[in-house]
Amino acid sequence: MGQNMIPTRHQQLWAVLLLSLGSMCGGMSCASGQQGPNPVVGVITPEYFRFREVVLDDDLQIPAGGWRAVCIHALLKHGSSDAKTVCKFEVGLPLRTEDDREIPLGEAQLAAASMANRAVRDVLSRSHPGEMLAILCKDFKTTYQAMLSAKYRGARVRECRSAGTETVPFGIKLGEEPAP
Amino acid sequence: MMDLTEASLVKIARHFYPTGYPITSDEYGEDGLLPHQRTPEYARWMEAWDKAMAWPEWKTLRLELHSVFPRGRDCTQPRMSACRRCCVYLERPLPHGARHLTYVAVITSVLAPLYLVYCTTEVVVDKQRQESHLFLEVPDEVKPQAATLSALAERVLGYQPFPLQFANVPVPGLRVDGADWRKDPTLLDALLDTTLDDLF
Repeated sequence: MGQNMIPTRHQQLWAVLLLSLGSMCGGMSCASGQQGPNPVVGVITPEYFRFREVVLDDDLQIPAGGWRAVCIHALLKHGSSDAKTVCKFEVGLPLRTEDDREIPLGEAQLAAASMANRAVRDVLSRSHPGEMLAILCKDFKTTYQAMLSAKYRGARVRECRSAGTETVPFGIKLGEEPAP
Repeated sequence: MMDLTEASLVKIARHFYPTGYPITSDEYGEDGLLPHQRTPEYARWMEAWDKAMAWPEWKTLRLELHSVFPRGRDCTQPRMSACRRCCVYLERPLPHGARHLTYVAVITSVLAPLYLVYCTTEVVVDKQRQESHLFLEVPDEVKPQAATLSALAERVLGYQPFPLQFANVPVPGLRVDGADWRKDPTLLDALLDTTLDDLF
């Protein structure tokens, strides 16, 4: 699809990202820097999800669900040309579940990465050829949130807005290795 | 007391969210922002959240909540909607290891002195959620908890109930993140939250 559909440069770039993410990530077994028959490489991995705690759960007298969030800028560059486009999203997760079980950071990162890749694949599989990037980005966020909140209640995927979160670029150069 | 007419609530919504920025026209500029993020409405929304995260009354509310409900807690999702939130969590065992869960929540708008108390129920079997229900009018069995949460919002924050009869009033063209972009967002979406279930 990515190579046959050339309605606009942005749409093509996005479709190629989606295709590469979807084809190279299977559930929890995503790996970075993996090379396949497709020259495009790009699977977001847990270390990109550098969550910061924006609502602390540090007062045992007043329990809080707590909140951690990170802002991801998925930036796509096309080889050596200047063409680039971006989908920005903030992922927010509670620090604790309703039964007061702490969600360890590593577990949250793994789930966030795995589901991001899965959401991308899902969105691609049902998107119309030539769909606008903005719509695909929005549909991705909706799908991603549904997946995350099925595992962790209260998970949210929104525009990047939180104060105190880290912004993490996820760079992909089409035809090259992904940025670290 | 604020004026609780449909027109006044729409006016508040339009004060904090820009109109005429459909996501189909989204394109990040050189400043890294989308067009709607450069509007005065967006700046006001962000400022409202800055203030809400520093509310001195919120700590009082949390303390009082905890003194009444030891398992009551702050479950705010900062900037993911237009409200802060506290939840009370009730659990009842069912046969075969299943659990019946009830959450009673109070959500307080960061944009206007309005709150809503509501409730969700579900059955959890093997960590899977089943039979989820959302009640904007809470069932009789949790009316005492709901009344306590309402009283806290009114006494500690000076808030008044969100008029539910206007909850589904659409506000055409409003840009509300988290709302279904294919439909007009509602007053409830804009002033409180787009996602009421899924409490934690």
